[in-house]
Amino acid sequence: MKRAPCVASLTGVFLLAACSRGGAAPPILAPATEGQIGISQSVTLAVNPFDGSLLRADQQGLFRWRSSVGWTEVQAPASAGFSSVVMNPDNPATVYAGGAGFGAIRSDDSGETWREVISGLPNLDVAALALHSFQRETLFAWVEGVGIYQTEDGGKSWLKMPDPGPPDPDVRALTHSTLAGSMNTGWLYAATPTGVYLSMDCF
Amino acid sequence: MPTNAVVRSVAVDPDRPERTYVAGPAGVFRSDDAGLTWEEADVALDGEPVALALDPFNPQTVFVVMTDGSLWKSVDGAAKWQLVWPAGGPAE
Repeated sequence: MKRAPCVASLTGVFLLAACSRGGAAPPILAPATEGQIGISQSVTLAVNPFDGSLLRADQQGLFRWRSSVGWTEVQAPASAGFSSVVMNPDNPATVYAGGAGFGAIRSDDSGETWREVISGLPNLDVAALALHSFQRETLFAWVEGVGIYQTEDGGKSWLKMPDPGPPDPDVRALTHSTLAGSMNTGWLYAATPTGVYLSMDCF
Repeated sequence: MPTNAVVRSVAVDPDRPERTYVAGPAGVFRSDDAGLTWEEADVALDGEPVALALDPFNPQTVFVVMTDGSLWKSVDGAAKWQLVWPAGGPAE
């Protein structure tokens, strides 16, 4: 897989973006309680921009919400332990889900059928997935205990990115952004129990 | 946003990438300067947020799920919220 060039001096730098609000110092939330929850307690949402439905991934499974019927379960190879779900907004039938014990799976028919997309992943514990903002076959995965992986071919193959990731490795969610200033195609936000971190997507 | 706050979810406005939302036990917060400053955006939200997502083609529309499973929707960039599931009517 071809890698975008990255400036060495900037790789590995995560900027703590969680800043205090003004006024009195707010309480610092202790991460210990959250840390006990673990990967399986992650919850993610994805919005289908064409019909307004939602997908929700959590420890209990994968669910679809429609305003007319509420939540219904989406059948998938894994029945529990989901950490993340992302949808291609240009083609919402294409959905990726990640989780503990099964890695990452892909559906191209709105969740009717699924296939594993785990080639290159070091283990099957995916804590977070993010879809690139405009390169729809590029995704990022945070692999529990290892670091961040990238695919540029819709999950056919994954490669580890060189950066070790944020100081807090307990990543609960990833999001790609086209925020200006990146030396590559954008930035990645990582949500953790100690704040949200930002890094260029070439890390 | 509280320093070192637990963050469970982060979303970025695709049309305006300086606008960033985060959700966690401390609430929902919105930044219009890519995370340098944050303002609370959970007025009238009832509960503890666990996940947040934007409509990618209409990013003023924001959804939040709470720990109790309730689903809330904002159509104005998290200024006002409406409970959409379970059905209980608007909770402005």
